[in-house]
Amino acid sequence: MNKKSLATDEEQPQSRRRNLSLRSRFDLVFDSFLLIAFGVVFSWNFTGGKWHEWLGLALGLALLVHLTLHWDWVVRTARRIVTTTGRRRWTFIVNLLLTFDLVLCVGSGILISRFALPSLGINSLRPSESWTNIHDKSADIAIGLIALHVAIDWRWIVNVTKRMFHFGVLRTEESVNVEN
Amino acid sequence: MLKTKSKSNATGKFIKQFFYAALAITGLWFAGVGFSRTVLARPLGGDEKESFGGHFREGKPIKLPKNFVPQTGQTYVPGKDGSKPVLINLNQGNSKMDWQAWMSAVHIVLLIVIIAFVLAAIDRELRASRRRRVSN
Repeated sequence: MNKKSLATDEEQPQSRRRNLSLRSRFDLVFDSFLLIAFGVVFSWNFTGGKWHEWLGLALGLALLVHLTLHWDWVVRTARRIVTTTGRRRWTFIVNLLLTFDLVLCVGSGILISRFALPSLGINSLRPSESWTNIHDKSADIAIGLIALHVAIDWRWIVNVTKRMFHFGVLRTEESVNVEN
Repeated sequence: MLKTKSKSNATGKFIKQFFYAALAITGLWFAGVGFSRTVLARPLGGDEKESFGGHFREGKPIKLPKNFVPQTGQTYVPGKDGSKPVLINLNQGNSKMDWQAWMSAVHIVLLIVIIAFVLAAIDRELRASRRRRVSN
C-alpha cells in the first residue's frame, strides 16, 4: 500500500465525519422551524387571533410531518420499550406526553376556532370555555415538554449545528496544520 | 432507473408512515377524550349539557356596568374594582398581527432554549459523575 492510499484511508473517517447527511441537515432546519413556529403561534400579542389560528393549523400539519419523519424510531422504541435502556424509555415517555399534549392543544384549538374554520365554511364545533382552558393549559405545559424534548437531543443538535456551519472543524484543521 | 425507483420507494414509505402517524394521532385524541369521559367521568371540554366535571372553572355570569355592551361570542373576565369587564382571548379582540409585539415570540423561543440548555447541562453533569463513580 503506497503513501497516497494510506493518506486517503486516514482521511476517510474525518471526511465522513465532516460530511453531514442531507437528512440530518433537513431534520435540524425543520425542527428549528418548528420551534420558532411554536414561539410565534404561542405569542398572542404578536399574531392576533386570525394568524394564530392559521399558523396553528399549519403547525399541527408540520408536527404530523415531524412524527412521520421519526416514525421508524417510534416503532423501533415502542417494540423494545420493556427491554430498552432507562434513558431511551424516558425519552419515549417524554415524547409520548409531548405528542398527547400537542394533540390536545391543536385539537382543542380547532374546536374553539373563530376565524380559520368559519372561513372554510365550518362553524365553531364546541366553543366552550372549558376547551379554551384546555387549549391554554396544554400550550403552557408544551413549553416545559418541548424544552425537555430539546434537552434530550441537545448533544445531537450541538453536533449537527457545529458540522453544518463548520464550527470546530476549522479549529481541527488548524491544529492538524500546526502539528504538521 | 434505480434512482427513480428508490425515489418512488421513499415517497411511498413517507405516505405510508404519514398515514400511520395520522392514525396514531387520531387514536390518541379519541383515546384521551374517551378515557376522560368514561373512566374519569370528567369529560374533556364538557359534555353535551356543558357539564365540565368540576375540574375546570365554569363560565359564570358577571355583573355588567351600565352602558357596557359586550361583543357577542367573546369571553370576558370581571374587571378590577368594579371597572368594566376585560375581554380575554383573541388578543384583546384584535384579529390582526401586531408586528411591534414580535419580541414575545422571541422570548418564548429563548425560554425553551434556555430551559433545554440547563436541563442538558444537568444531564451532562449527572452522566459525568456516574462515569466517574463507575471508573473509581
